[in-house]
Amino acid sequence: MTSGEAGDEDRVELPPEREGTGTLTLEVVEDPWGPSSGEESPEDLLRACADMRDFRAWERFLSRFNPIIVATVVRTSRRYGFDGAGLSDDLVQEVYLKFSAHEAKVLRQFKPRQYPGAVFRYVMVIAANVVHDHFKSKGGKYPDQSPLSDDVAGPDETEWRLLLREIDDLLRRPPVSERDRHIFWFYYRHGMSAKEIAALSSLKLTTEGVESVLVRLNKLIRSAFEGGERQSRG
Amino acid sequence: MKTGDRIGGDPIERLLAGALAHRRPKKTRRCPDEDRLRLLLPGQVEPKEAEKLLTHAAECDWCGAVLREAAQDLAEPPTGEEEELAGKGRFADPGRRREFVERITGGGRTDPKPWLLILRRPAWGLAAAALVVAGGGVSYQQWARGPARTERLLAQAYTERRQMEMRLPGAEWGRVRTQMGVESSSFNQPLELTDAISNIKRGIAGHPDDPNWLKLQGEADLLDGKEEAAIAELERAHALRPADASILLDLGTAIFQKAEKADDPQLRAQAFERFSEGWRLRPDDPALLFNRAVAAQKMYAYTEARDDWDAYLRVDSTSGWVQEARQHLDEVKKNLSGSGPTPPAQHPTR
Repeated sequence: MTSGEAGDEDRVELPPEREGTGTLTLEVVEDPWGPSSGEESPEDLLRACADMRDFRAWERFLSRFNPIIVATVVRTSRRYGFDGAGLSDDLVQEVYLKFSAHEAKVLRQFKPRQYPGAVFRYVMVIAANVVHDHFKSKGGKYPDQSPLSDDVAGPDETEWRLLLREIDDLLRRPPVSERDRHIFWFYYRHGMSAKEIAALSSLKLTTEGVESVLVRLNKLIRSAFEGGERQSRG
Repeated sequence: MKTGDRIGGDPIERLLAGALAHRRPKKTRRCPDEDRLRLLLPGQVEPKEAEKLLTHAAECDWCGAVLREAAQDLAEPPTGEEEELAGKGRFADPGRRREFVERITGGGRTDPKPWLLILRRPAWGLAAAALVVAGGGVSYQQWARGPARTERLLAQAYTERRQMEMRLPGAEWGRVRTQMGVESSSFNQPLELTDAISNIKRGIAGHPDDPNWLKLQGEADLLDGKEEAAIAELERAHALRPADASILLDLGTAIFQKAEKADDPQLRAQAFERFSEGWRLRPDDPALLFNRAVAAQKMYAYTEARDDWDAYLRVDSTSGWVQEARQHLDEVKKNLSGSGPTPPAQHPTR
């Protein structure tokens, strides 16, 4: 396990924009996705629902997952500018049909892994995909995620793209791993927060782990650029 | 030239300012499927593929934004407000939940009769009551726009301009016509198809979850050459009414048409499986036997094809389809005796 992987970081520095507030102590918090005591695990429930004849399991599935499916449908619909309750009901139904189609193929495809909340996130991703498909099939335009504003003061574009390339060249050299390079660009190019990056279970990092990577790469880049400037002045 | 010797200033600050001003989300051909990209959140992608997806997303403004929005929307459990909204929705009511679960799990085994279920739904119950009060049955307009008439229109459209070997439920025989180099225009459609589509639009608007209308929508799209859309609609209809053999017939036909276009043996096998599911429910249905036989023949499963054509000719000896079925049977027999053309080396998995 490398530095910053889930579970092994207990004290990390804050990323640069939050510097000055000291270090952060990782607290053990209650897993918001975890089942209540005595409740069947969500993995077990999914497994039970993979048998389409299990009427009771499906009743429990609807009862348990309905709030997160509704929340996902509402959040994703808002991306397309829709906020109607009636539409949500129909889309929620579409989501359940997706889960039950082909003898619950989507549920059977779920691969149990040791990520916190993986089942809930899986259900949410499937629900979100149904909503995206719905709006796209209606010819709905996915809104521009980052409209360009004329009054944003920034460096010249060519200059910026050269800077991107220079930084990327640095990040492609050891000791920077490919995973850390991804994290850097998700944060500084795409504007994802450390928490949002840590939500990508495939990276296997906590929010603090992501922050730690960012601080390390930040220092590496700054010192490389300072060294470059000193050499060119000298 | 060394790192940092071109321009001055803090590189991180310049990077952030430039990202705000120059980020250009634009989807390209190299962008992966967005549904797949979102599966990185629950960690459902195998490590090798995940690595590829992450590398692309880190460098692509479009995919980076897709991932950012997914993480924003899907990383948190429902808020109090969302919980409240869910509590007011259709599936908050245990009765409606149970009714829906009965439908998707095909819970007809212990359910009351379907007509009782219909009357249990308040809107349908009211509609039924209104019909009873009217006392005169349905009006001409209701009949002309109803599902039975629409099905008839689709069958007529199919016969008038038959464009596939597969059969549609209730359709009479017609000669297969292939349109070579003709632009697909709604003006080339048979009038019956135009009328049927208009009825279906009304029907779906009023009853978006009615498997009858979904089935008819699938048939209309099939006649219009839109297999993908047809498959989606028919799968929904099948999910709502899993034991309906005529939906399985249409679904198998739509999948088969897609297989023919893509020359995909696996899809052909899927279509065959759908026909078989339908056949198990209605073993003497001529259209199911006919379509399954065609699918088997195209899969070079000649023994199955021969058995199905034999079975077909036992249940139908008078309709316009008989001659076509006999021709197929002769062809299959030739292949089985070794005097027919040699099939390609690849044998699809059955």
